[in-house]
This record gives sequence, C-alpha cells and structure tokens, in this order.
Amino acid sequence: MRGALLGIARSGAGAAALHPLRSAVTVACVASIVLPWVVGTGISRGLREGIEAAVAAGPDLVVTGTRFGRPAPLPEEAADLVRAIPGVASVVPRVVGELRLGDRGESAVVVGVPASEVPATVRLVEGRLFAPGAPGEIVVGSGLAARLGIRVGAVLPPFYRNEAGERTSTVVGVFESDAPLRQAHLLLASIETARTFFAEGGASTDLLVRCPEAFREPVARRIRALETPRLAVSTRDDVEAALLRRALDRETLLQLPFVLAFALGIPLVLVTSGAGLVERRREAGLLRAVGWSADALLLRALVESALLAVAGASIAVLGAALWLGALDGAGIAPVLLPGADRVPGFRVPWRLGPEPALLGLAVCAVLVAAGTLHSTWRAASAPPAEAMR
Amino acid sequence: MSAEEGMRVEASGVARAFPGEGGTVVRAVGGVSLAAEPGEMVALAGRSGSGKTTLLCLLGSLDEPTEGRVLWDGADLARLGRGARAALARSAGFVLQGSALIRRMPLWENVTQGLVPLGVPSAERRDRAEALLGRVGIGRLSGRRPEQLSAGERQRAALARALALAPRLLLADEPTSDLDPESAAVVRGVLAEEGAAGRTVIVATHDPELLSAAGRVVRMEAGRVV
Repeated sequence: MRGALLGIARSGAGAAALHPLRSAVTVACVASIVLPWVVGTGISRGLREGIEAAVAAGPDLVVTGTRFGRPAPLPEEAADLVRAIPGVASVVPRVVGELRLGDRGESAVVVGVPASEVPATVRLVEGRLFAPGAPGEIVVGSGLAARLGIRVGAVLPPFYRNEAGERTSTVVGVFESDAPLRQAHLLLASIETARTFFAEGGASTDLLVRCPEAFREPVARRIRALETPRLAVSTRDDVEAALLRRALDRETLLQLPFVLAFALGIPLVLVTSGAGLVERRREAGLLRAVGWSADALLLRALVESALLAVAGASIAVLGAALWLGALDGAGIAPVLLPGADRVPGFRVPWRLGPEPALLGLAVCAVLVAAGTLHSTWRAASAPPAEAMR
Repeated sequence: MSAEEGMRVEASGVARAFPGEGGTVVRAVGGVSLAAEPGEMVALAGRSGSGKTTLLCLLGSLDEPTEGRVLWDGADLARLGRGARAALARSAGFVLQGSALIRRMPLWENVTQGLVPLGVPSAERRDRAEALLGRVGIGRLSGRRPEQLSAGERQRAALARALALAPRLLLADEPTSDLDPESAAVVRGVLAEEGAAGRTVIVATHDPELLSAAGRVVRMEAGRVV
C-alpha cells in the first residue's frame, strides 16, 4: 500500500516535469496572481508589528483637548491639572503638527517633545539631538532629508512667520527609525521650537501620561471628569485598537481586489492548465486503460497540483521579498501607507513570516487544484475510451 | 486461476450509441453477441467504421455499453463496484490504435505504468520493461522517448506495455497497421505466442496474415456481426 502510494506520488511529481510548458504557464499564472497579495500581506504584517512596538513603547494614556466635540489644542494648565491626579507618574506635553517644506511643498510632520521622550526606535545617523532650550534646532528623518536635499548644518530658509518675524531653523541631526514612515515625513524638535512653528504659545496637541497599570482606568475617569478644559482620553489599548482598525480598513481595501483576482484566477488557471486539457484527458484515459483506478489518478493529479502550488508560492514569496526589499513595495505600499508615493522612496515596513508564505501556498494550492483536479476527475470518471477520444 | 490461463469474455446483446449531429444517435455497435474462450485468438474484421474498435473497447472494459452486458468469466462488468472493476481491469492488456504512448516519458516507464499503482519498485519495473521490450525486439531502446522512435517501434512498445501485467485477456486494435514487415511480423508472433500460452486474444485487424493466424474471424458491418 505504502509502495503504491509512493509510486503514485512519484508519478505525480513526474507529471509536472512531463509537461514543462503546461507546468510553467500554470506556475507563472498562479505566482502572478498571488505575488501582489503576498506583497500587500507582508506590508500589513510589518505595519502591525510597527504599531504594536510603538504602542508598547508609548504612554499609558494620551490626553487630547476637545472643543465643540472636535480635537482642539490643550492650554498650558491642562498638564498641571492632570499631573495633580493621584496615580499619575508623569505628564509630558507634545505638539504634533504638519508643515510644508521646500519648493515642492514636501509634507513634514513636526513632533515637538522633550528630548527624553524621543522614541527609542529613533536612531541618530548623523549629528545630534536638539538641545533643550536651543530654539530652532531640528532633527529630520533620513527620508525627508533626502527628499529635501538637506544635511546636518543646513539652515532651512524661513518656512514660517509669526509675530516675532521670519525665523530660520538649523538641522542638527538626521535619524533613521524602525518605522520608515517617520523617516519619510518626520521632523523632531523641542516642544518650544514646535510651538513657535505654529505660533501656539504654551499650547500642546496632546499629553502623554504614564501611570501604573492599576491606575489607568481611575486616572482616565478623573481626566474625563474635568470640566475645564474638556479633555478626551485614549488608553494604550484604545490607541492600539484605533491604529490597528485603521490598518485593517486599509488591508480590507487591499484584499477586495484580490478576492476578485483569486475568483478570476480559478478560470484563468483552468484555461492555462486546460491548455493541456486534451492531453490531460488523453493521459488519464491511457492510464485508466493500463490499470490505474480513478482514485489513483486523482492522487497523482493532487501531487502534481501540490508541487505546482509549492513552486508558485515559492516564486511569489521570493518575488515579494524582492518587491518589498528592492522596490519598497512600489504600487502597493500607498494603499496601506497613507502619504506614501506610488514609488515610496523609503524602506517600507514589511514582514514575510511563515503566515503569508503559508497563506500564499494555500491560495496557490486552491487555485491549481481547482484548475486541475476537476478536469482530472472528469477524465478519470469517464470510460477510458471516452477520455482518449 | 493463474495468469497463464485465459479468460472467457462474453458480449451479450451489447450496443453502443453516441450522440450525433442535430440530436441524432449514431449506433456504432448494435446488439452484438459474441464469446471468446481462454486460449482462443479471435479476429474482428470489417471495413473502417464497421464498429470493430468500439466492440473491442466494450469487450476490454475501456467503454461502457448503452445496451447489453459484457461478462468476464461470467461476472457482469456493469454490476461490479469501482474498486473491483479497476482490479479486474488489470486482467486485460490493450494495444491501442496508434500505440498511444505518453510523450516525453521514457519507454521503460511507459511500458510499466500499469505497475505503478501496484507499488512495484522503480528498479524492478525497469527490469521488467527491458525484458518485455527485449521480447518485442527493442530492448536497447528502453531509455528512449516515444517521439524518438519509429511507428513500428512505438507499436511494439505498446504491445510490451499491454503484456506488462501478464494479462489473461489481450486486446489489440489494428496492431500491425502501417508497420514495416519486420515490426508487423514481431507483433503477429507475440500475439500468436500469447494465444498459444492460453490467453484470450481478441484483435481488430485488416491484416490478412493476422486474420489467417486467428482461430476464428468475426466479420462486422455497420456495427453488427455478419
């Protein structure tokens, strides 16, 4: 029995080699359908990991101001009010805002925080971090620096103006980050410098609150209960859920065309593998005529399909690694990374772990099996003379 | 019963109809009754289109009759389950018209494809294939592919394949047509040897020499025995 199964399996493996053109076309067809999906899935996994890491390193609570039910800057005294709540370990005001820089109006996200609050994922590759109390010092992400053509020591021409007149800023450092989007768009500065950019005096956009886990909920309740100013609180879980939800929405947006592609892929594989349909039928009839049972033929086709699926999935995964590593997920990254160009120009976050590879293999297996098993089953179920006719 | 013994094959009122153009029905074989005994060599003769190949396929279990019954040693093939029928089908060897070998597959593998589902190891299959190919005079070609062979060599290989399972029933469809005299002689010789060894041999042919070698000639016309 074991010998028979092995013999049939070997014959199935041989069948893939017996029809090189049919096999190559089927593998190419399956790989081309699955490849962009693996790329998208790889970026999604990378993004999720980035989100989880960022949230794990982030504050326990994020407090924002609200006015008329919409986000609003926080007045300077808000930090003191929150700091006075029992259980709060630290409160750090932060400014997050958007600027346009350079002749082409490159989008840059300014984050103003104390130097001690710069995320650990940020690695300086040139220069130093901004000094406390030194106005106008900025640290830019390597992607943004490349896009603007600036290095350490560059003086940014006046890109903002306030009541004190035009101001210039000096690039004192360039950083790389595990979250490449930061590199592409981020500009770090002290909170004072960031406030000056936006002429917001002592205001901040949010407060980063740290407290022991047991205090998280009571502290959040107390903050929400404050009358003036009105504050909104997001816990670490809320932030993670919101970020993952946003990522999931974009993933869903990406998955929809692929569901359609997979659905269209089955008839496509039927056609490509069916390019040898007459030959497949004839071969099935021939093998039946020399004593093969229909079950043995199906097993043979299953092994052949599995091999083609493994080949298709392997090519898709290797191609995806190349697409992500060398081409930065061009064409697919913008769907998942808001703000990224069609050719991102920065290292997109990606992860090709076993999960996308196995899912890719499963999709390939379904596509190939749907394309080949049905025709084999029909040929194997028909009388041999009819299959060979 | 040993493999050396033949098989009693009986067709009882078998008919085979195919759908034709415009909803018509084409009866390739109509109500044929025929029996072949172990050790007997029966030749089916008749013009092209007379129904010889269809009847041969019905007798060899390669096709199913639309009417009537085919019995092997008294067992009605239509009443057998899939597994039993597949097992019984290995008792028959078929030389198909035009040799019908699998392209790109070495000859020795083609010849022993029937042994694969039985779990016969590859080395043993190769040995058996070489012996069978040697018997039909082309042992040296066992590593070649069908497309590298002449029509006569392919037909001899097809005969070797039909013998691979040591069948009790051997059916051959035009086994000597378009063959060079040497190849035709080899094929005729092997068929005669099989018949002499007690196997049931049924051949559809136009070949006068093969017809004269047969113990009985059944003539067909328009799907009927005449």
